Amino acid sequence: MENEVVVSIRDLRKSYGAKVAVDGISLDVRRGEVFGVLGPNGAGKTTTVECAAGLREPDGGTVRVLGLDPVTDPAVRHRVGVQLQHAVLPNRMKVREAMRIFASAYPRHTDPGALLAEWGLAEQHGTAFAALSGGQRQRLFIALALLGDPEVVVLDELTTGLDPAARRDTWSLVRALRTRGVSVLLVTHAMDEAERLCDRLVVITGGRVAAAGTPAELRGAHQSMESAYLALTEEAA
Amino acid sequence: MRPLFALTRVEVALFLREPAAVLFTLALPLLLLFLNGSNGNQPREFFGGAGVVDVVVAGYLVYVMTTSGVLGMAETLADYRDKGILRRMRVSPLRPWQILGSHALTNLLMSVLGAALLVVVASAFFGLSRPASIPLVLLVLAAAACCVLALGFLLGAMLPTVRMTQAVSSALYFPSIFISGALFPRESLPEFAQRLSDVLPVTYAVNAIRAAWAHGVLDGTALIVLLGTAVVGTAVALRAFRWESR
Repeated sequence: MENEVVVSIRDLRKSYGAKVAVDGISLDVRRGEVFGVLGPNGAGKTTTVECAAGLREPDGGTVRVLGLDPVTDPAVRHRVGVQLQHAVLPNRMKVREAMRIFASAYPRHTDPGALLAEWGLAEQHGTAFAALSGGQRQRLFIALALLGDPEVVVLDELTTGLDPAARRDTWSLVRALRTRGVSVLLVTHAMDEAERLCDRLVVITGGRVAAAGTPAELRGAHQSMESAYLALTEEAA
Repeated sequence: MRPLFALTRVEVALFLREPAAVLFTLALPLLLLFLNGSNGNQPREFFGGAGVVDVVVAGYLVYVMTTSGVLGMAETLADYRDKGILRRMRVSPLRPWQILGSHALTNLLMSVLGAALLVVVASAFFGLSRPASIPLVLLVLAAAACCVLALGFLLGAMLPTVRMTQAVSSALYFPSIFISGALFPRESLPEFAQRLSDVLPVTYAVNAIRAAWAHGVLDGTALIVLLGTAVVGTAVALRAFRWESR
């Protein structure tokens, strides 16, 4: 089971009108690993994970999540938790109400109270969404993504807009997910984040995979991950 | 069904936390009833033998459902789409019919609540007549509710942004409440406004409720218009509906 592939993307293509967002991306996420998708803004990262989450239908190529097609097989949604970039909830919705709604969608779900406590939101169960801090919102979205006890979690730009302390806290939460045996597909444009969290990653530029491997492999001969990443992205630009 | 009820329960709570929604949907009709109903409900020649309270209550019932159905439904869907709330729900195992159904059900429940308040208060304090046919009144109310919800769904589905949705739904909503007979009895409107109102589906709702309530008569044309609008509106909305803005 060690090398079982939970997310398989083969030669994925997706355009919006004349604009090509993803131009032949392939990647495999193995069970239990944190897999990073790193790249500058507009590189096609979000489109790639949106296809994996079943939000978009690919123009070409195949996407399989736990062996299923996420667009045509809604059963995938019971086994995959998704945290979306720029996600919000209605301003006046309380934390416990959000948990109740999303919990109701699963035949069996994790205890919402325990999940909130685990993610440091026990005090906030009666707080309206609008009154939560940025870090609390992110933790709520992670808790919502975990309600169905998923095998795979997709995290898109998890720490964008968070202050440094909240970022570090969030990183330890991602590591906690990995410890639980959850496979994580992590999208980020921050090199330090990818280097600290990911077992393996791909760097995407212009809708294509520019490099793939472990953080150490990608760093290679460069002094740091940062210079390796900049070399890759400048090459593409 | 459980997700539908869980969603609806939370959406009802959200509705009741919105002061403007509560004021305009539930409180305003009662206030207007106090203003217009205090001279009693004796039969008037001007209203074809009906009393003022009977006439205004029939209109206010339509006002309530138009406010929550057209405005409430359209703006909530547009707002949820714009903010990405629909998108977030879409990646969960919540099914589309549960998400959309909860909004229809919430606005329907608020219409029922507003209607019940209105009828109870008007009967207890303003001498509202008993309906000539309760089944017919309920049938017409149900058809009218389907019609306004379908219009709200259609506006919430067709228009690309929240601003555009607000503009276009207001352009439908204000004539619908002002010249259909919902807020002001049809008889008291100028001739051209009455003519104009014939193109508005809610005008048929007001007329059909008055006919069923006062005379126990089913207005067949109105029923066809209301149900036809409901079916066509829902069908077009389902085709046009998008889960995200862009």
